[in-house]
Amino acid sequence: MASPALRELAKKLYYCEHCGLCRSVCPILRQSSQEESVGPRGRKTLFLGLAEGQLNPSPALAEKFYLCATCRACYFKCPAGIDIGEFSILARHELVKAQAVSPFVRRVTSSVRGGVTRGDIFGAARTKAKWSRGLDIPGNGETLFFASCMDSSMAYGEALLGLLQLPLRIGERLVSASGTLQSIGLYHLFESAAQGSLRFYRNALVDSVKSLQILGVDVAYMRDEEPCCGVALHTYGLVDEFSEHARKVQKIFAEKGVKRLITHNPICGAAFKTLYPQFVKDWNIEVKHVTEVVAEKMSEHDLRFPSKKTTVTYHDPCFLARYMNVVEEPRTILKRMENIQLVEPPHSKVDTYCDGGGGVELLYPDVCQDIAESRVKELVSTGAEKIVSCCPVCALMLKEGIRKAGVKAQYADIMTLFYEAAKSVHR
Amino acid sequence: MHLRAGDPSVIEEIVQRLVRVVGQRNVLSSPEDLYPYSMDASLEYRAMPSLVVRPCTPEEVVEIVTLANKEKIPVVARGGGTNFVGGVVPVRSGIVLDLTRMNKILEISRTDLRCDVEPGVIHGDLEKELGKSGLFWPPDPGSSESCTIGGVLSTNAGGMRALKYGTARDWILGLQVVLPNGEMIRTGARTLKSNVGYDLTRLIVGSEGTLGVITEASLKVRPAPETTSRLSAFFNEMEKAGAAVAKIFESGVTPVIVELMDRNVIRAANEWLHLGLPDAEASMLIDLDGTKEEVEYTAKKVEHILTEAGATDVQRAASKEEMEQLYLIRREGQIALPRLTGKMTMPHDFCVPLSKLPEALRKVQELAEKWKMPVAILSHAGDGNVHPIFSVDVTDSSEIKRARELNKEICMMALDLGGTVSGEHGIGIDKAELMEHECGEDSLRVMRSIKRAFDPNNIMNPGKMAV
Repeated sequence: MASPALRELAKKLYYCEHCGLCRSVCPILRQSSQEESVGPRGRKTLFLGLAEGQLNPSPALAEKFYLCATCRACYFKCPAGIDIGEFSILARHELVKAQAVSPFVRRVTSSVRGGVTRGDIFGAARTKAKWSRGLDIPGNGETLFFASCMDSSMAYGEALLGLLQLPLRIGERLVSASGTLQSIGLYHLFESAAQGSLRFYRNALVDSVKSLQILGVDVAYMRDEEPCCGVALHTYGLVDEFSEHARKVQKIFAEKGVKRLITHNPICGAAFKTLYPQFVKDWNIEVKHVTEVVAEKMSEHDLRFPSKKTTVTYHDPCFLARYMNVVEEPRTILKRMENIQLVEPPHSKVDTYCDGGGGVELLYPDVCQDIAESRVKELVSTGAEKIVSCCPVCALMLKEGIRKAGVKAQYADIMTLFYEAAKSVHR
Repeated sequence: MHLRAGDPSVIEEIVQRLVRVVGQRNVLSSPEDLYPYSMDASLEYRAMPSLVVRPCTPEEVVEIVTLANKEKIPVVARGGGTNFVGGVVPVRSGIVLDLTRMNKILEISRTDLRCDVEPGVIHGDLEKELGKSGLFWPPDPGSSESCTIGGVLSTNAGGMRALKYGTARDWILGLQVVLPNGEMIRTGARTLKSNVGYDLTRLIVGSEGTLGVITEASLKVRPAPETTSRLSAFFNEMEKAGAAVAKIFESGVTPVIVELMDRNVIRAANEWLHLGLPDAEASMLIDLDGTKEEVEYTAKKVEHILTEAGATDVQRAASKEEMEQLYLIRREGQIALPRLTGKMTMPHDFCVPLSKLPEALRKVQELAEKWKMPVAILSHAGDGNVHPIFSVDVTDSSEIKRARELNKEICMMALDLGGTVSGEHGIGIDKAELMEHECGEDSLRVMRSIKRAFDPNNIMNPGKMAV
């Protein structure tokens, strides 16, 4: 494994002074009683061991790298500027190539590969555009609303996370087979059984689009033709396949004349904004999160909307704050909604604390759920009645955390709050 | 029995016995679990442990150490792993005792000015908790957010506030220690004064894990000062900055910290923190504490001295946020150096009498030029402690060799000036030879007999210091 290419990549790790500042912010490490190999500094050492040929590729080694939430907390803390999340992905890439991953990781990566190709990582491509029925929204335009499969199908994710808690690893097998189950039509059963959950995630999309329309922002939506951004390929270490997929997506957007993307899901947004420029030559599509567009319009026209009296706390999704650099805009929206009192949690903005999402919650549900619970406890310590955020994966994890912590607070998407307030004025 | 990696049957038997003590989850033996424990912040020293054991109680430590002593297995106690001299690298393999699970603050007594802690408590966490009671523990190593109290005590760490308040040895009342034979003893007392027999507490503090494992500590704490003021100043010449330090002390003021940073550190801090600091030859950071009236009076006095001494830009932090930002320049500037150099940083350490500080700073620069090594300078200037920070390409073995030679010459220069080879980083592997130079054979003989009395089987952190 000590290839010259890997050694070259590892060179930046020699910048690390081993100061351990990264250890003080890693959510996974805190949940794993400070064990060195589980934290960012340990992952740095392990990457060096792999690159220098001191450690052999193995599923046990791979597990250390798959345990990274890629939340970038350590990167923002590191004076030397080392992004251990990036190295975790590189290590996954090497270890997948060397077939040194566990059978479960292999099954999940295979499932992800199939899902991305079909247009939906949960294998629910046939129903992913269902949320837009009844909306007056064109199929083509320069500005696309990129709905993402995570938003439209996150209810499947919620169900899968539930399945993983079943005994005898039944869940693992079902998760691995989810793509197949979807393709043989099981999603019909799921659609009827999980209406509430599906509606919850899909509403965030509906409310995003309706809000943009109220504010006079014209967007198009590709519906069933919308490609998957492929970020899950990257997350699980299928970097070459992600690169190839990204080029295909660029071609699709070019053919449609797309110049601007507005996403609700910051994970896809981060992929388009930070990964695509690295992997795709001449990527020149502007990428914005829906809260950026809404906040811009509110400030431009000095808009304020009356809302129900409530105290909210805002959870900054890692991918929005630390990859897309969006921290003030959601606060602008909340502060311009009258009667809403915004209280900040101890960890906020770029110092936010991961809620256990980030792509590996299906691999390590126990660890990730504990992180979610701990984040929820911190958020409700502010006395807020509602936890507000704007990411489908954070929604999934925070709802899970609320359930585990047994607290009264409710989760609400920021665009749902906004639309509820804006529509009453706009009518 | 010499437990080494690659001795599977022996390891397996020991593992089973240790598992009965701490549980399966807390005995680590796979290569990917062990490898991250093969190094500390010295980075150039590496050695694989045979096992890592993660106890949770003093009683578990007793059982582990008893077993290790019986089987003559080396034991290396480890906290945050931020040591710069290879102090927790298991050079003779054996067991690394990871104490980070023993992380409870047991008691904070405002009346007794005492705080009892387990060794794995993170320094920064303790600082926050004490702050809630209006207290503080003065030692403040730069690695506060990641180092543990056990590590701070074992290395007698100091930090920036050492100028006014001294090092860890000055702020300890008593210890609970598991000796190499597995016996647990208590040293010192829980009172603010005690004068009973040999001072085992202060012998064990700073002994770098060679005499036993600290399993609990009673720290002497003090009420936090009413207010602290932070000043910053920039100089066009390093010597002028050095002279300003002397003038501050001559005026009768005792600051809490007086930190000196050279142009390289300022540039690196600018790169990382985007503060737009002036591109000066040297920067100084000064903290003053006391009552509001005292601080206001001394701050004005120091501002005047700095201006008279030729400082180009003297400022007083106006808010808590500004104070924190200034502190970050000092604490994280050096770690950001690779952003500029593209090389690994190797922070070194020596201390000279204050009167020799300007000479020492000049000589470090001359030696750096001689050995063609980029060296940045950080200094706890108020107590004569200097950290030359080397930037080294660790993939180039000749550069590593030059760095070692340069470090040796710098330390010998410090000794020539009546200084010491370590102000606070300690000896570990890195400075064992230099310790011999500094202490001389007679002192070393005494130290070695103390080591033998505590640890006849030489199982506690063997291969460290010169004992």
